[in-house]
Amino acid sequence: MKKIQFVWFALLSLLVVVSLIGCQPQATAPVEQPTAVVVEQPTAAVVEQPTATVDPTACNLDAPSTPVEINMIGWSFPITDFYASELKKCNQVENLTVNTQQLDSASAHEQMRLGLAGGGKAPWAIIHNTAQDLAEFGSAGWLYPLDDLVKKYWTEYKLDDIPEAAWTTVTYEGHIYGVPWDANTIMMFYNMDLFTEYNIIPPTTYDEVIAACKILKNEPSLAVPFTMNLHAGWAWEIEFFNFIGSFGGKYFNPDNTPAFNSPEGVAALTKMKEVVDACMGPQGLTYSIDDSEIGMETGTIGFVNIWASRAANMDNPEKSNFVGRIGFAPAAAPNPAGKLGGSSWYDAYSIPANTGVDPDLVFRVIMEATDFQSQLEASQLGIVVRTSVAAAGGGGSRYLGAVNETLAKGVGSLPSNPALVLMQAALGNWLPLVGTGEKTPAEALQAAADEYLAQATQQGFVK
Amino acid sequence: MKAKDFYKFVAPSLIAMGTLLVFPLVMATWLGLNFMTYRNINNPVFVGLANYIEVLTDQRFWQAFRFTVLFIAITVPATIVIGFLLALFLDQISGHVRGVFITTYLLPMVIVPVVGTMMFRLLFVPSGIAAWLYQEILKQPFFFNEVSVKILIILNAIWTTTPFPFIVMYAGLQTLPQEQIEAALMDGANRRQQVRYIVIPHLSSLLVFLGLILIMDAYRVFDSIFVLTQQNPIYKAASVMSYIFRTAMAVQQLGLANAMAILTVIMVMIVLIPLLVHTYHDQIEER
Repeated sequence: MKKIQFVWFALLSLLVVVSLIGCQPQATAPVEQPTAVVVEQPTAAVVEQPTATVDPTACNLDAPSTPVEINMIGWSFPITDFYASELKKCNQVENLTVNTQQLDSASAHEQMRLGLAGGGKAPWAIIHNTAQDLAEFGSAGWLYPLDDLVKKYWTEYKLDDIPEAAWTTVTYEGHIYGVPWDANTIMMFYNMDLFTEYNIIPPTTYDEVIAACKILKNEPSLAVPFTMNLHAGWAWEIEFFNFIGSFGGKYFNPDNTPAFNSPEGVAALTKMKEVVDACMGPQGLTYSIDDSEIGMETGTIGFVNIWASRAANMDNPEKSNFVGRIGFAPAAAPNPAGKLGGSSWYDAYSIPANTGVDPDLVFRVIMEATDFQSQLEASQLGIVVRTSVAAAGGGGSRYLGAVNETLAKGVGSLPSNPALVLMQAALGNWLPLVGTGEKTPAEALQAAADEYLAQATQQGFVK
Repeated sequence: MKAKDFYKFVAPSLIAMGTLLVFPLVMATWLGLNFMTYRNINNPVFVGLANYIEVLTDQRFWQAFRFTVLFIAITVPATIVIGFLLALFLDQISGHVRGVFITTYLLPMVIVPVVGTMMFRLLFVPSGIAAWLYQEILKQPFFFNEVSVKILIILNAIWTTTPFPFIVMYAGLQTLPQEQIEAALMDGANRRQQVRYIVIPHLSSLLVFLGLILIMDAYRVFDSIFVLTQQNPIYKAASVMSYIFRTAMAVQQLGLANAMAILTVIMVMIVLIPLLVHTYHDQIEER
């Protein structure tokens, strides 16, 4: 190859490589797994200012006598990434190294199950999980019970600042298995300008949602009037839980047989289908959480029912064209006489039972990352559990009212049942077929119940 | 060469293949004979062929298999034909411009498949540019349904896979003796006749090789299915691999998933062994 040809080739290759590096997309936000959420009202706690000798932004731990490495695994979205970075604050402590690994939710769960089920020393000392994971992992004996550590550090880390209801969701069969630090729910976001123009009051029931959709259907600026997240099987399952709870139904019978294929379940799924037909259509069924958020930020959707953790982005001028003009309301009630159609979720940190690191040290690292100061900063990104944060002027003032009302009057959290993952898989396989009309609600629920029962019986959850 | 020397030479490859291929295959076969979930992973229960029978009587498995076969039947010939045409086209170009084209055509192969598929999907989401173009041209919104998702899966696969047959056939074209082309020209053959009677026969062994590799690769399709379908059952676009993944991760039936994997290996071998035998005989005849 001639010299000039070589130079051209080298320059072109460099340009291609630099372009590829520069054009790498951000990892899409992983599935936001709901965590056990306890509905609670924030108390007007007195905020105790840290003493002059303690730096609240630092990791205030004594250095271990020998080098210790703490690995953490979790899934990524803004507030969880923040807490992961808070854990890494403890790298400033001598002899202590904290490594974090943030994946997408599906990969993180896959890695956790494989790592914890195999026996032997766990690859991580801290795992990020949800209340539903706690039931599955706790029942399998994969998690370290934190009762003694919570009791030991109750005063030092002001753990009474976390409501009792939150602790309940991370408790399985009488043992605490996680430290909750983040709450979430599903609630309504609406375009205030549009609602004012069309004289629409934020709906409180799904009948009112359908009525509002009929009004907004011909608005030319809208791609769809309303969306809720139904773009995947797991998304249908989450919304179905919101709806069935409002109709008074439940997932499990006491013997773990399915209870969701009840008249209440059929009524719930029928109502979901009515909303899909009136408000979303085939196009709306493909909207993911990201698409719904972008639709609100760009004004192509009138109102949505999505995760409260997306609320902060509505007032972010880098993302939203409607800063200050997106309103927030509690989730609507699918059953006018029932609970609000918003469920409660917590994220928590747990310690594997077979960790090779001193659980006391690990617990204190978690405490340093989820203390008042950390949660005050985290409140700009999502909903935190420490009730003193709101009193101290933490973020989220525009939407916290709607969040708290949904948490208080909503359907609560998913059942803490180790068979839940099988039920979710079965429901995710059949519920979407109702949206396309391939199955009636009763047919879909019966098929899901049969599929769940077969698996649960085979795996010993149903005798 | 003495047998002892021969085995010394091949020992590193044999050890690597045994560790990375044979041992996992034997393990997977054994695990497929057991009932195993995450909860009894250290104490699986031997169930004999029950898992294999369950797979063979599972309607969803066969639905995934049918889609996989359809996927192979469309993408493999398409990538070979498009790759061949691109190689022919590039063979006509000389100078610096050739390098630009080669780099451009190889770019899809450089991008990590999951990242490429996510970028591809983003083009078609409601805020995506391809969705906007679709609406502008066809005056109706683009949305994901069974047909459009399957088309996108196939298009994405063709886009990411074509560089491989392209570069293989382009390399093959460089070995084409120019005397044969010149002789054909003198005999009055047009371009199409040259390609049909000289170029394609010259590349025939490469075409068989590419067919084998691409069929095996297409059978293992997972990334594009996982990203584009989000495992939504309404698209009916689960492949065998994505169904195995779901069985292992969502349903947590590890033994059943292993049985499925072994059955798919057997099915691939059933398709490929006749081709391999045919190729072997061709090679012997050529010698």
